[in-house]
Amino acid sequence: MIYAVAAYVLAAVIWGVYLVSLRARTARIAQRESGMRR
Amino acid sequence: MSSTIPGWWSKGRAILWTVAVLLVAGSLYAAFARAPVEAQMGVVQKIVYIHVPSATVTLLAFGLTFAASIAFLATRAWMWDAVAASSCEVGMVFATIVLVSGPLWARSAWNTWWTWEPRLTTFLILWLLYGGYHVVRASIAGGAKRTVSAVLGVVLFVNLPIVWKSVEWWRGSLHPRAVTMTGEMRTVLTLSMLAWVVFFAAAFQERLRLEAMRKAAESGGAPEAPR
Repeated sequence: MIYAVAAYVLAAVIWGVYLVSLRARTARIAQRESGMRR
Repeated sequence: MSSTIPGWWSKGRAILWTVAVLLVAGSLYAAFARAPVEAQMGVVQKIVYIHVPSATVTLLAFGLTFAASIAFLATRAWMWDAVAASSCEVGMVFATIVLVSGPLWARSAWNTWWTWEPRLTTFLILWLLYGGYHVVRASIAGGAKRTVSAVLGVVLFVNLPIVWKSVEWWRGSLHPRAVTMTGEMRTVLTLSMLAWVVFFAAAFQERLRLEAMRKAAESGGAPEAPR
């Protein structure tokens, strides 16, 4: 049971880290763009 | 193709994410609450519902990288480079999940975390090579970046059939040649496949949106703010 749960929890952690990094990169570009327009 | 982000994209991504999250939640519920416990392996066999779909989506993602790389070399349209790089990056996430979930299953089923059997070895090589794609891409500036990435996207595709056929080409494989399931197990695996393909589509369009924003920023366009 512990291995099955660990596999799903680790998958959730990997997706969480990836999606947060993706959002941060997107926000950085938008921020840079809004700074250049000002 | 336009480098600015069309309005329908922003509306569509909310719907896609909602469907993807609902499908993944449904597949997780089905895996743990509906699928029967396998007689020999027990509960650990439920890893199949994330391991096999993730491996399948990895091959689909790298296949899309291959197709988009060819399209870029033929047309030189930036969008194909964006599709190839985005698909490759999201594919790497799925490949990492395969490499994490596999040893957890192996520890219980084969009594070892890792063994140098054909499918594991070729998949690890695949992961390292596609990881190299991103390292190379990040290290090149200017126009050559897209061309070099596209060439790599084509060349690295050679590994996909090797991974796929490794269980037939080399002896000593612990992986089954084919996964045969019946009844509710099969239904849950099909649902999980569908859920993770849709989740790939959602993550892929999100990554593609980042490329579109980069392109718009390079060409002085006005990308929309992320919500």
